[in-house]
Amino acid sequence: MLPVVRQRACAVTLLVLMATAVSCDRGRIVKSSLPDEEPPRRAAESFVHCVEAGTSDCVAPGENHAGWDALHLLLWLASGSPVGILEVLPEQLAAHGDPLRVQSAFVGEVQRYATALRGAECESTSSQAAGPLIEQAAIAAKSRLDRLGMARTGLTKVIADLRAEAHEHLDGGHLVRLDCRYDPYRVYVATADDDGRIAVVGMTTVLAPQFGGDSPSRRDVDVRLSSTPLGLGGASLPLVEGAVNEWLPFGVEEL
Amino acid sequence: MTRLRAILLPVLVALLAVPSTSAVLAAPTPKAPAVDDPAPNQTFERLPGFSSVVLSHVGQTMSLDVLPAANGFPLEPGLFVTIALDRMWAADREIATLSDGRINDTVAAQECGNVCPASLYDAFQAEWLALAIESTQRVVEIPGNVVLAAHGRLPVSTLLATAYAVTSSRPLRPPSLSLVLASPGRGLRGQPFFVIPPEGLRVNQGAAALGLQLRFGRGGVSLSAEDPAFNRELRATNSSALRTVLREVKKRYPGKQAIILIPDETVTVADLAQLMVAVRAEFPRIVLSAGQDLVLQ
Repeated sequence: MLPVVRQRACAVTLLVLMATAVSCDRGRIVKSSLPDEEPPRRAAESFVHCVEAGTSDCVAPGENHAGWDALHLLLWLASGSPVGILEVLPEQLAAHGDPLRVQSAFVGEVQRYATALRGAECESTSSQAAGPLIEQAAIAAKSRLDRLGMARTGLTKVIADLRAEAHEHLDGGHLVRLDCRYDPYRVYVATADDDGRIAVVGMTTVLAPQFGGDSPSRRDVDVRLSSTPLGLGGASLPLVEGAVNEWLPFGVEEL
Repeated sequence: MTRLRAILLPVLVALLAVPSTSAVLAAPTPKAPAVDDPAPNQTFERLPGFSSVVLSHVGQTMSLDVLPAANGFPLEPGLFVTIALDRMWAADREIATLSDGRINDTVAAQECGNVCPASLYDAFQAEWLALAIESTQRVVEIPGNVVLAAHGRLPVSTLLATAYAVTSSRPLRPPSLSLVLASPGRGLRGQPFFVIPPEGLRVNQGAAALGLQLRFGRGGVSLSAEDPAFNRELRATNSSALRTVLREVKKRYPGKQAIILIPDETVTVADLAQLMVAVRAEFPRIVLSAGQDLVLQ
């Protein structure tokens, strides 16, 4: 019994000493185990950690993802490929009108990069407020589609509505940039602020330089083009039968 | 959101499909909205065609008058590249500066067999990456076509370097190429062409290839073939003589459809366009070469 009693006595003494030490040091800021960054960056890092951990509930089903989807569409109109816009814009806008499809797109994006993110060593480096970004994207999209002769078909109204919708749901939110050591190198996570509660509502791995993104280095481009998430690495389309080669896809007898 | 949905309802009704992505990471998904929202009007009309977009961009960056004028085929949608005498764009993104039509970068990229500048290769590779990412996000194919709208006075060597840069850097396989022409009364048209592989071409003699090659410059054209049985070099100094020569060759080799064009340093894009039109009548498979070897072995 004696050793136990002695241990208890020591423990009580130690606790008293610790309590005294804390009370004497009340002005000192105790370092939290949470990251020091502002809440959106913390939320973004938590989200990426969740994806890295492979847990099943990183994309919260109750969140409204439409604001991010509207902003993402504006960013696409402002910097995406004109031929892509011509080909699938109606379908993309139709999908935008369906919350189920909007959420599925977000889930799909997370799934696509889940494995890559696991070893990518991502860390948040900055964040930008969503409000000004929405304005910037809407102005750039309008001006670009004007230049390309695409705005006169009623797209101006679509841009105005996307802008309004993005503001409605995303004002107060942020776009957090995470720099990663490995593929995908950059991750941008969108957060919304719902009365002080920060929620992650979207994600992308690319942002045009005019909106705060950067041009990838040659090495990054090389790696990404052969990476699993894009599904292009090692892939090769079948050659036309009897063709000279992939550069000259016609019959060798024609040469 | 309701407002936007109402505006887009006609499009939505036509295109709404069951979402294909299974929400593995998500718990129960939100309830889809009813699709019988009122649709008071539809402001979203038909988008312009691909040619109209290229027309707008070329018109704003270098004027339509400077494009080579000739007839051709309808432009297939794809990545469009515009090459003025001082700048170059991939779609509407500026990617290079030029001096009187020549690319300033003298460092060659190994990936394109040293026939294109490294900076241009990098720029196009980044463009393909952006298109690949877009293809995953927007459910659209990576463009399989590249159309090149080039100033008529541009040296063909610059056009070739650009073609090799954009072609070598595309993932999966080289794209189809087309030179943009201004066709009087018909808008923009295209002259499709291929490029010989950057490292040259070796073909087994058993394949019975002729390997017809046309070297051309301001001094005229000379036609030869890699097949030893051809055994001659035909010359022409004007387009009429060239047509005659090509017709004769075609008579002897009716199954041959391809011809390799090897321009010298004096040739401009406008010269090339005219030659393409003249040659295509007999040999519709036009292959451009930067002078690489063609070997029948």
